[in-house]
Amino acid sequence: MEEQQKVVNNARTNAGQGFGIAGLVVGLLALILAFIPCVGVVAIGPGAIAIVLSVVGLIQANQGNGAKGLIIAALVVSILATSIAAIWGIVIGGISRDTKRFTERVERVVERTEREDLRRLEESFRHLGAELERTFGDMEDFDPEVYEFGEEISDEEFEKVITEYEEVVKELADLVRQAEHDRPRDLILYSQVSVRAASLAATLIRVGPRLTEEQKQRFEEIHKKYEEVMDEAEI
Amino acid sequence: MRLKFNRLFSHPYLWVNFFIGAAFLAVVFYSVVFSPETGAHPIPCVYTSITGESCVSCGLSRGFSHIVRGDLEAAAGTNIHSIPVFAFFVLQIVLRSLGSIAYLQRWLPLSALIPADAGISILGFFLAFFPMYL
Repeated sequence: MEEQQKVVNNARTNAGQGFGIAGLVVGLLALILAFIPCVGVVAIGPGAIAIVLSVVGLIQANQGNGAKGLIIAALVVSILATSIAAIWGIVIGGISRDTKRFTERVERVVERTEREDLRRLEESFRHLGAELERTFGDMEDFDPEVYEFGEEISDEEFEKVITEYEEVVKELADLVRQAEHDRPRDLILYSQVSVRAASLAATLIRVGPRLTEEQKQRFEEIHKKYEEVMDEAEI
Repeated sequence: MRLKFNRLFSHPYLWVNFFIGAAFLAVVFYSVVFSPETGAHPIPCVYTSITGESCVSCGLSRGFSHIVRGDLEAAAGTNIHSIPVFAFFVLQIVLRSLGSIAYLQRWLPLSALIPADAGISILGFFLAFFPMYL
């Protein structure tokens, strides 16, 4: 009779098995998910849930003399899945920090470059303003003598100015073709180059009456290109 | 091969088989529901959302969607690993079903069935997932 009572006491019950099964299923799925690169970090959630389920199952099994093999297996699998997911979390967290630092550095460089560009643009506008003032000043102080003969320019100086004008117009044409007009950097660059082109054109117009027929023809050819580029830019 | 309903969930092994099989069937269902062309799969890639670059597992869901539509070439083009990983999922569905039937029909004792099942699953798992790390 005493022996029979002992057998009944030692008989395993189903206590905690439900939670153990749930923990094992969720833990196994979390383990598979945890091994998928990059996505693995998502397994932290189900892994943690599986650990909780397994622990609850283990407590119930302890209290109700339930079988513990399956529950311990569930706990091991869940801890393994959560650990792997946590490693992914650490790796991705590190990458995220590096990316953030890199982005901040790039932003600082861009900001500095844009500030420099703006400063150069301001300088260009000041230069253009001075050129325009000079041109309009000439027009206001209209002197038929000057109008007729224009300012003096040597062949050497003309060659220098016309070559630069040609290069600037070419640069402007390339910019119009390649630049994206909604990008501030391109807009600034475009403004700088167009201001330089306008300034050179103003210089050449001022000396116009003094130019030879050949020089005038060359200037007109380049100036025609400049006007075509400006039409193409539609700005 | 007549099964009694009350025996279907008589052992934890059968419960585990049922739920894991159901989870993998859900993956197949997910692949059927979401079209690879629209690219509207709701599971985002954490790595891509942080760095803006694609990773080794990007395109798996779209690859699965191509596979269930029979377009293996497109699946391989989307993500070459989608085929072995999907094959592992299908293997799991087959193993869960066969394992349960084998237990219920007593083709094998549980002491042989579980190690055999686990061994095949682990081997399949490594064959499917290991190339992702190369």
